[in-house]
Amino acid sequence: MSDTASFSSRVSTSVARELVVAVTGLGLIVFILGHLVGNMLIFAGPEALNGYAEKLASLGELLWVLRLGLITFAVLHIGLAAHLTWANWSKRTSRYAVTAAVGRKSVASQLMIYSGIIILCFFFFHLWDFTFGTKTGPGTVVPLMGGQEELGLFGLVWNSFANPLRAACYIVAVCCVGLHLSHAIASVWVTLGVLTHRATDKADAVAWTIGVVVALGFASIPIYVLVRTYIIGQGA
Amino acid sequence: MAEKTIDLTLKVWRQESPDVEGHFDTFPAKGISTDMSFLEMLDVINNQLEKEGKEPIAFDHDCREGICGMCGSVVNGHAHGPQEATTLCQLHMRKFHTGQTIVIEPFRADAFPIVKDLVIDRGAFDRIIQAGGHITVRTGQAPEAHSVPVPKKKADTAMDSAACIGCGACVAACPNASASLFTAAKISQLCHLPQGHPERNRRVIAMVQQMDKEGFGSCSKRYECEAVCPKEIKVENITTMNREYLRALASSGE
Repeated sequence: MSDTASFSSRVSTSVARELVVAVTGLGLIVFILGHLVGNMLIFAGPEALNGYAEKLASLGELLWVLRLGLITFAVLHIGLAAHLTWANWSKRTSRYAVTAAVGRKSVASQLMIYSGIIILCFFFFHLWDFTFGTKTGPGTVVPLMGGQEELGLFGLVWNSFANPLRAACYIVAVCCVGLHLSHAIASVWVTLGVLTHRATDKADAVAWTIGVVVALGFASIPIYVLVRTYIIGQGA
Repeated sequence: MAEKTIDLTLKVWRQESPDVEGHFDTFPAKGISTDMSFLEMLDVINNQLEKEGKEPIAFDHDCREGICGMCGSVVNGHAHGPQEATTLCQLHMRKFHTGQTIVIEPFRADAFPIVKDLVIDRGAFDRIIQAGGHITVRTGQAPEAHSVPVPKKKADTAMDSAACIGCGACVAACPNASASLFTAAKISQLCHLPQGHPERNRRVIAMVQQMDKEGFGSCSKRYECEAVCPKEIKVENITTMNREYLRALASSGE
């Protein structure tokens, strides 16, 4: 009884850890969806995107509160998920000679840790690229948009994606985000204790749809820049 | 109906004791009646092995009618063989065809040490049940049937969970060797009934802690367990377990 009663032993079980991974994961999903909506402003032109970025920057201390919240969520999510995965790998040391495909096991569910690692690496690259990137000077001039005007964040993003290799890296990374979300959103309801058996297929469909929308939504930006730069050109 | 026979090749996991390295032995299995159960086929092979003065294949079995949970091996990668919702003893040889090679392995999980050949020690499951502890019921005279009302839907849910025979196929099929489906079914069968309510918070915490302690993995929601379960226990039970766990975390003490 004393063992089950202590608070620290209650919150350190595998089930409790999974609950934390689920809740922090949901928080990160909300951020990703918000980020996606904000990014869509790039289609509205330099003023819209730069104005949005300035508005975010003007939040000042509140922005840092949000950032610290996100960092805390990310650290908890990644740390506990990595710990659980590492522990799970050690539970069957003798391998089966024959394995068969059974259950709903999707590619996404098998690759969670790997898509997660790619997303983490991408996160640092992405910060270095855009958050800390120089948003003034010749690097932000887009000749295609006419003139020699510096276009701030918009110009930085545009010129970054005009490099096909970099654009391809971004597209691969956001596909990993979509893949990660497609299993995450399908399974989070089991972890949080709300999924009935009859709703399993629906949860799968919703998760898959959100995963595809997120991947396509983010990928649409580099694809748009590549198309404008190399196919349609100046006139468009 | 004329009896049909098939010729097979068996590759069976042989392991002398828990601590020695195991290996596969290959046996021809000729003239196997398709009306035999899988275990009867193993009986026939064992008779041959004994005639030849060789060590028979050790495998677990008891009721041979699919309700005790003693039998179970991984057959060609499927826990309890290729037929859905069927224990190994209820699987018939008509599901196989002549010329086929059948690979038979024990349920593999570090929490289920191999005792010999296909026999595993599922004591970890017993200890999870023990950790669950008692339920509060009146002893003595049977209570009046209407004194403890149970809604039909809840009774059905509890009964579906109680169908778990504790065979361990869920653990065998899980990539993480997780006992979540088993533990969840045992928690679910009690938490839906009024008799299981007084201890529900303590029970879920204790059983989950014991599950971790025994060295089982956690749930990655890959649904292999549900697919191989001979009693069709659903992953929804794991949802229930997690909900019960949240409730227990939120409540203080009992």
